[in-house]
Amino acid sequence: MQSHNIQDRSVSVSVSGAGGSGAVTAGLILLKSMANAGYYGYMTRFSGPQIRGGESAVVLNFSDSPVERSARSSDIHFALDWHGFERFSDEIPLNSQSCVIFDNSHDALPDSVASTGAKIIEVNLKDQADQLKGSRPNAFAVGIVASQLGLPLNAVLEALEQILEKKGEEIFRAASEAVRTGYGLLEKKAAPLEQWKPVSHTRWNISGNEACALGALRASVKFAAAYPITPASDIVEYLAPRLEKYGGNVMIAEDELAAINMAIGGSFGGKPSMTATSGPGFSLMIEAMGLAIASEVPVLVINVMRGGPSTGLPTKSEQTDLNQALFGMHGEAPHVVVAPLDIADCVVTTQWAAGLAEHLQTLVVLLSDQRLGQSRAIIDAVPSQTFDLKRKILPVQDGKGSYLRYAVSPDSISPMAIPGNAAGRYTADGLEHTVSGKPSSMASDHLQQLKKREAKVTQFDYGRMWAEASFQQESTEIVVLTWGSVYHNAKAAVSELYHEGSPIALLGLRLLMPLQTEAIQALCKGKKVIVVEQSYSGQLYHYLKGQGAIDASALTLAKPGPLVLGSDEIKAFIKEAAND
Amino acid sequence: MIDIAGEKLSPEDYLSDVRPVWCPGCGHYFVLRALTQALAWLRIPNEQIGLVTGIGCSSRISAYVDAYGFHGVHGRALALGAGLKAVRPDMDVIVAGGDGDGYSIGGNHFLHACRRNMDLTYIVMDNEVYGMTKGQPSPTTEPDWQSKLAPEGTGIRRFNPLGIALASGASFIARGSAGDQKGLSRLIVEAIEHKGFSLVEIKTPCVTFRPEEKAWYKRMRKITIEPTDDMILAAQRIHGSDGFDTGIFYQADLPVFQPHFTEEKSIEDFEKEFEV
Amino acid sequence: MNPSLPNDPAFAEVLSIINEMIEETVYHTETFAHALQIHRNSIAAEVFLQAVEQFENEQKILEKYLPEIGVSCNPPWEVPHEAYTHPAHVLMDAHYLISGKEAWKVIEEIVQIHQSVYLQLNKESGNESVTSLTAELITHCDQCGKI
Repeated sequence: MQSHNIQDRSVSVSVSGAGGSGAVTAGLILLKSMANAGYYGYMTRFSGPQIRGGESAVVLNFSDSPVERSARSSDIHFALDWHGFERFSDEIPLNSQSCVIFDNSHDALPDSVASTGAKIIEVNLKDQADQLKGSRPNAFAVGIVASQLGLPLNAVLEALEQILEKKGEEIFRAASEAVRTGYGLLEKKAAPLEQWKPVSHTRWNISGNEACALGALRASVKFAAAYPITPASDIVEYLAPRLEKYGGNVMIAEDELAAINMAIGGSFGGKPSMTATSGPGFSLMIEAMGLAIASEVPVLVINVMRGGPSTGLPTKSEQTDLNQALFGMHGEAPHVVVAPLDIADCVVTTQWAAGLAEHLQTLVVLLSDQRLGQSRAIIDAVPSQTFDLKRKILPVQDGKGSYLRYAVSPDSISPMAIPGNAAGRYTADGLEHTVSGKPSSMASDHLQQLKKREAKVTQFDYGRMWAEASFQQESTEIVVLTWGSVYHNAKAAVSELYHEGSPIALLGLRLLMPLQTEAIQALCKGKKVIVVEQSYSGQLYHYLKGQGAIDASALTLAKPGPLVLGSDEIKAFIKEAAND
Repeated sequence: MIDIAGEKLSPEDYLSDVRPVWCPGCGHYFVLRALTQALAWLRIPNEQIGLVTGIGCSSRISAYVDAYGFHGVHGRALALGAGLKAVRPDMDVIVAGGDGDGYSIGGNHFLHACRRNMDLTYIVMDNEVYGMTKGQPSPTTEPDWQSKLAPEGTGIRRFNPLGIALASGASFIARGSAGDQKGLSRLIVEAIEHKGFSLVEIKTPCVTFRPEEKAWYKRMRKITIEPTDDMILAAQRIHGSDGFDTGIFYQADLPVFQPHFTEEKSIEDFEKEFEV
Repeated sequence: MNPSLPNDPAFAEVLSIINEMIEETVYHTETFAHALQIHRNSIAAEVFLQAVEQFENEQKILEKYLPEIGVSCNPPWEVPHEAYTHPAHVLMDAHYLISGKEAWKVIEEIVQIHQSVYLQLNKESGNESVTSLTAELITHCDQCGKI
């Protein structure tokens, strides 16, 4: 088992099996068990392309400190069967340090697994399940893995109860009996968790998509409209039952064109509004996103990116909608693009993004991705915070005044009239307009409104939220620049190098548009810059270069999805670059 | 005669200071008048009206009415209006546009707006042509109408808005004529008062690209159809009409979609769900 | 002018019919003039604008009665009188290239619609106030026709 040093006490577990074998449930129970025992964990899930019945796998990484990245390899892999396992050979790296346990009542051990040199343990779960009425193999597997991790049985049974709570007494009893049996099946190992220090404070078991949704709730988003799409549906599925008990609602749109327009309509009506989608839906929303910008209606669009183009890799991650989010709109359409750096940051950044939309009265795009969105982790509770970002609203008055909806003001943000206010009647327009909103194609009106829309976005002080800078010091020579779900692996690589004595720093960008060019220059000027991202063409790299934020000498480490850009790979690249 | 107490409001009270740019003789002028008359008759406070439109000649109407207007993108007015109504059930939301906007690029939204049956009024100014782009055949154009884009005609059968609305679940389906401003004002009043999705399909000539449509002014029959809630009868009337009948073809009391919400939860309740 | 007016429902009804008709005429004529203006047919637009003035003068004849009597509130879809045709129907035949001469013809037709309503009302009503008002309006229309 890997225990690299005191700072990195971690152990990784993976579970795979055919659809319906319960690999994902096993993962969820193990994650919860670890949380109950006082530890942290991070779980990513993978599935085949089938709608139902496809093979699936979970990869878990546990530690006694917050951990939000996958391990380099699996310490323990449990195969409920070997169905379609070859699909996961990249996601579940096995080596001679690994311990593979498998249910031999199905297929034989694949050669590819045998050849890794991993320690192999066979169990027959069919026999076990036959002996215990109502039990399922995955529950035995949970027990077995728990015993091999040295995880206290109570923590597992507690988790089991929490997860199976709604399934009835019968099912819970059979499952807990199976876990107990599994727990005693192999010789118990105490090693991995022995030196770990459990914590007792409150932590959260949350996915990135749930975290985004919570951030939206914290920002008082009251209306969401969406059309189902993987991997973004979880966000609105989380919101649907909750928002309606929190003074708002979720509407099922007939398509993404409707979803974004509904959100714009809701926002026009005075409620902070949002939609969530992924690449193909995002493409459909582009036109109306321009409408939000032109008509200055606040709206938040969350894009949980997947591999593209076209239908692409629907269930797998990539950071390749960046160009589209930045430059997808026709015409000149200044807006805000942000991206969270990890699961906890999904809460904070979404809250910030929704606030920015309201305050700046424009479109804010939040770019998450499948890895960030569908990963689940045990994290410290995210403390609530306030951003002083509210919509500037025209005070309610009787009688029609001389309201100018698009008046130019010092901060270029004009008070918005909410329907129902007699003094503020106006027509919001996607046509270019005068200060009053009257359609106009005059050059002077166009220029005035272009400037207004640009100024409100660029002149705003985004404060410290624009990025996370770490390991900065006087002597920094190398800066690794990254964003989104790559952040934690990049951070691990930089951290190791930093502690090994490298003059290296990390910059995780949260605000991608308007780009804080001067701030980036201040941190990167004269240094060796490496831009790390999950794309084939290096979209972030070219963007930063094009904006003059980084020099021509900057290097790019860009790798397309769906494979994780691992910390080892990043570290190796940096090391080589440093020596050049 | 219905008597409404209080000061009479004038249709002019519902006109904004933006003047229409429609062609002289365009049927839309009569629709605008009928609409403002209806609003004046109903005495709806201007600020309680949401007038949402898409793109096209007729969609310009949102700028001409003194209300809360939204002139959005092509074909999406019904979606935007649905969003507005979802969060603001207190408002009278009227969606307006043309045949291309509503039945072609916005066709899917039309279907789903009908079946969602929110309390919206949808006014379609159907002139069987794309006017703003200078005369291309629309979904309601007859198959043999010759144009630059389709020199021999499209050869495609026409979209039947009333029939499709009925099949899709709209609870109020009417056809009006720009040539009968008075009848039209009644249809619009009834459509606004109806609880549910109300379609008012209006035959309004495009005097510039379809000058022959001027004949509609005389050809369209003044309200001949009175409402029924019998779908079979309505279908017979819709499919049996030569297209020149006006009136309410169908009106029924169907479940209206309006999202409800409570304030029973706090953000702490949601955060607690994540706790371990 | 006539102290018995407020108690004269027949007269009130007639006032309301006429007022609504002239309002419609003024609105549509003025709107049409504006439409012609923005389509650069200023000659015809000018004709319609002059006509608007005449129609407004026609409405002024009612104004001396209106404050005392108040117009009843009829729904906009109600056809006020059998002799009534919507005055804007005439405009449906107009087009944006209309000449000044043709414009005058259109106006004349509107005036005729007005006049025929007045004549009808004048003929069928035994009410003294109605007779005197419609007579005044008929004269006004005669003068308009001579412009």
